[in-house]
Amino acid sequence: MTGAPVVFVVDDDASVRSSLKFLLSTVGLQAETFDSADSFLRKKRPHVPSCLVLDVRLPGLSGIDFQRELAARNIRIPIVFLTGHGDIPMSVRAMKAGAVEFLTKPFRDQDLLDAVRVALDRDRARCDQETEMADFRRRFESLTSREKEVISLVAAGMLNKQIAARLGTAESTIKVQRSRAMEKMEAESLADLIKMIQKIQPASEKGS
Amino acid sequence: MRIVQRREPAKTWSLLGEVRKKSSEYEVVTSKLHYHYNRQPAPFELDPNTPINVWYLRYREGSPFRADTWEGFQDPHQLTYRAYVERQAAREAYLDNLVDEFERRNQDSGLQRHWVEVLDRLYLPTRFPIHALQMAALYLGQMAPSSSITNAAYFQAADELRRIQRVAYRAKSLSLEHHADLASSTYTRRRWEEDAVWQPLRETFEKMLIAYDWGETFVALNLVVKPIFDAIFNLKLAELARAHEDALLALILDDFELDSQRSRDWTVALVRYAIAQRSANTALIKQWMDHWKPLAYRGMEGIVKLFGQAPRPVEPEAVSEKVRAAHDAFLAGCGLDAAAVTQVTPIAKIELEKSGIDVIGDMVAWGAHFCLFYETKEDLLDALTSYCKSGLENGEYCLWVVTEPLTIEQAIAALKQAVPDFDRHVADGCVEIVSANDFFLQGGKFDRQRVAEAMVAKLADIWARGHAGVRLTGDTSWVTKQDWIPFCELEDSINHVIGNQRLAVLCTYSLASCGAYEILDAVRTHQFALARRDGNWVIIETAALNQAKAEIKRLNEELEERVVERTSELMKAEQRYRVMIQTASDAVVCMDESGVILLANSATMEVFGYEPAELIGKPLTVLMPEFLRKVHEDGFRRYMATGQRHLNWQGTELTGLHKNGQAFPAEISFGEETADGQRIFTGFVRNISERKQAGELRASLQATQGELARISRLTTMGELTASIAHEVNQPLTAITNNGSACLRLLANQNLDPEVLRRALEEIVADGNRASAVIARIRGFIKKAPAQKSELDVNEVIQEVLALVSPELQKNRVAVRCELGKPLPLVLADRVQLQQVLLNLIVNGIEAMSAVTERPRALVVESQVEESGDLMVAVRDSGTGISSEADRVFTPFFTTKVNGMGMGLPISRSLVEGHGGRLWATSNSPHGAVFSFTLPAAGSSS
Repeated sequence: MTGAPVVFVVDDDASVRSSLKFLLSTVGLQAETFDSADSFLRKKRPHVPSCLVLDVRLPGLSGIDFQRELAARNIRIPIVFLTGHGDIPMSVRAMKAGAVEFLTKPFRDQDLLDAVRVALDRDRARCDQETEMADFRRRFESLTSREKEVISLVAAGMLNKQIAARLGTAESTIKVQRSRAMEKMEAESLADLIKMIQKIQPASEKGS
Repeated sequence: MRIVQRREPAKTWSLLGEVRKKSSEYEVVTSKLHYHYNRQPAPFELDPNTPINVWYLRYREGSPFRADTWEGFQDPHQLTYRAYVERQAAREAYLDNLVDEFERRNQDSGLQRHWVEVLDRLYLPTRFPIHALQMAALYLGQMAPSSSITNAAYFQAADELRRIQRVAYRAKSLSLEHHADLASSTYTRRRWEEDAVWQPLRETFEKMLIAYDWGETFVALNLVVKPIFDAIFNLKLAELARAHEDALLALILDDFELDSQRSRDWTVALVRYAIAQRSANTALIKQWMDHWKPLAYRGMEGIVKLFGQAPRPVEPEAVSEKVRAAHDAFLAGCGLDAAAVTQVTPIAKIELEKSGIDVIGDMVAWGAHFCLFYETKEDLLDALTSYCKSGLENGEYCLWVVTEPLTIEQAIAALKQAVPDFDRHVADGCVEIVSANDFFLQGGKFDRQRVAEAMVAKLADIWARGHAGVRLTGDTSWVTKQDWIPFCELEDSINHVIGNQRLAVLCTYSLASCGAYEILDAVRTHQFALARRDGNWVIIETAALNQAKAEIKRLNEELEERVVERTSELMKAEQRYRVMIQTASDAVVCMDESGVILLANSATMEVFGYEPAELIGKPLTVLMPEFLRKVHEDGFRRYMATGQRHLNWQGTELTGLHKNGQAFPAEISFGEETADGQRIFTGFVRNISERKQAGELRASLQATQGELARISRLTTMGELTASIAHEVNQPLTAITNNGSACLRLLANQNLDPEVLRRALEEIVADGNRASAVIARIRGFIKKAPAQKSELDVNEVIQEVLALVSPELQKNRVAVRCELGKPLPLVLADRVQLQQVLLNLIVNGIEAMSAVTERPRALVVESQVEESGDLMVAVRDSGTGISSEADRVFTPFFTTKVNGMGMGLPISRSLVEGHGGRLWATSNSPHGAVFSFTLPAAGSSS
């Protein structure tokens, strides 16, 4: 995934927003600021690594609830929480719910930037993972149905002749189908293939 | 002071609703009880044709004896059952005592046999006619149209019963000494039914019993039969008894005569009332009397014959005469005198007149009939001149009958000398001097009847002319021996006539021409006699007079006793009210209809600054401020005219005016009462400025309490923390962000001056914002500008402890105060001082909140230091403070979970703002001590 990462800042205080944007710019990060959770949700998520810097006590919506809301919408974006209050119980909950970091204002600039980097890395990793997954799936979809069958059984660890016996064809046919599938999947080794398949079909792994 | 009531005047009995004054006992128990009189369609709730209704409608409602209302009649003696019983019980006791005394002396056995025979024939049979009188009285009571008449009649019936009882008693006791038949009623009845002398009277009585018309019964009984009967059987029989040494009977009959007099009194009142209601009643009454008088007289003629048959006989004619005279006088008293048209006013009370004779002085009452024995002509002139003189001076008519040795000219001369404007009196016709010849002996002969009639006529004439009274004096020396007795009888009959009228008669007797018998007779027929002794006039009193005087004295004493009792009761009640009014702390002011103050109690001094005496006679408006006076006058005028009130009389807030000119808030209640026809208004005034002030104080105290509570809540629960933190952290965050960013850029040598400038601008702006927040917080804490005043620190400590007492209780903290006394005042802001104390105390409570193994004790001390400053210390037995004691005063230092750590720094700054110091030390064995000093007011610091 390419594209410059973007940091989304949501805080009701204007000077906090602008100062954060400024700070982030000094490390070359782009920031988009929103004054409320609502306005953030309306914005379309770009396909770049991003993270969210969020004040916990936004008017109308608590941070935790917002976190849940996002999960419900299947928006997986790493969150860095900020708070003006010494809210320990909330911070614990927030971390358990998967926040990257929980900082109290005023914070050390480095703490924030580190947290943002972690968040962005995470997001990039996720992005990458998603891209990879998409790739694998595309490759898999390009297989014929017979190839799909064969490759699933190969990933399951069956020998060619076992697969031939199972499917009722000749071993040589299986060998040919297997190599074609491998090509299409761009797997370099059997181990590679297995990893791919596992990624695509984690449930079917269990199934067979 | 008049007894006034705070509320509306007490309601009178509904039956007497229109009576504006409080009803007497008599009115209450006697008035308007005859619901059945004039009830439609018939007196009683039965078919109008039932016999009883028919009877009443015919003989009561249908009687020609009518009035618009009979309810206006009142018994002049105002007898109630209670009063009657009380009175008669006393009389009966008196008679019982008499009887006992006479029995002790065994008088009955000493009575002459002949006298007992007289009693047998004359006295004992009276039980029957008296019984008839009783029945007639009861019938009258039953048929009377008003309850007041009924009651009077019933009491009269009770009187008759008394008499009968005594007759029966005497019969019995006489029978024991003399012969047994006397006690037999059968025996006595035969006398009544068969003795010739009784029959005319018996006929009269029995006819009276069937006079059914209520008016006729009244006239027949009370106007004719009873007075005549009583005159014979009380008065004349008593005389006869005395003559025969039967003193007991005489005294008994004398007592009964008192009852008879009462009957005559109410009879007179009813007759006058009836005539006043309808003048036609006069003719009606006379008509009835014309029918009954002859009957009664015939009856009398019969029985008086027995008087002539006594051992010491009295001429029956004489008895009749006297009885007639008494009856005539009585009728005259009713205003029914056939001869005269003039009204003769009976005397209601005893009026004294100046006699003009020193020795009797002013003690001659109207109706005095006295005699004077003189030796010399000079004595006579002397006495009579002064007698007439004072009469003339009083506006009375003087009639002087002159005889030898005086001449008319001498009399005139003497009067001219003594009386200054004698001629004027003569011209006015106030004086008449005639010779005895002309007056008594017209035609040379003394005709008693004629003289009596002439005298009565003359008197009537004099009354008609409107004189204040009449003085009569006549000499008796013209009376010859044969005329002597008739003359005495004349004197006697005059007694009856003058008893009721404003007439005084002085008869003069020459000692020279009077023998012993004459003198005795004279004394007997007069109330008292005067004689000259050693140059001075002295009084010789007669037995009758003495007895009358004794009776009057006794009655007066009785009356006085009752009056004293009643007065003392009244006084006690008044005293109670007076004490209540006087000791009331409210000012009580009474005013009359014109708005003038009549009375005031001593509390007016306290409330208005006036002595009560200063206010009397002043208009009520002096007690009001100028702007209220017109309102009051208009309102009062409207109330007097329409009865509408413009204020709530149960309590209104108004403004009063003190003597010193200060107005003050007052609460006033009003009452009204009518006394003697006058309306009196009473006001109760209370100065409520203290109450108002207290109200205001309470309101401000509550406001302060609310304020303090709010602040304390904030400082103890750290809500302040959250809001301040949030407010301040935003700009701080922005500042640090901007600053850090600039540093980074600088490190990368990438800092654009423009960028830097903008960043710095924002930093400054945010810094200002932060300090504004802080300033607001500080301002919030210091809400108002410090208002310094002289305070008693101990007072403030008590206030704060009161505020936190719920917290103390909740945390089970024991508080002890060691407050030095006296403390000098400090100049401080009360709210701030409260805040500091609150902070320290609350800290102490919280420090001990974790303590369980030892008592939680909080001690607050105050004392004066050597320097003159005040020192206050708050000690707790909590967790104590670490060695760096002063650290607690740094902002944001807190050991509390929820604390923000601002309380102590703020307290310190407040104390320092007052020129004091606040510091902390360790308490031993446990806990901490927070102490602060404040300079005393007036000291330089």
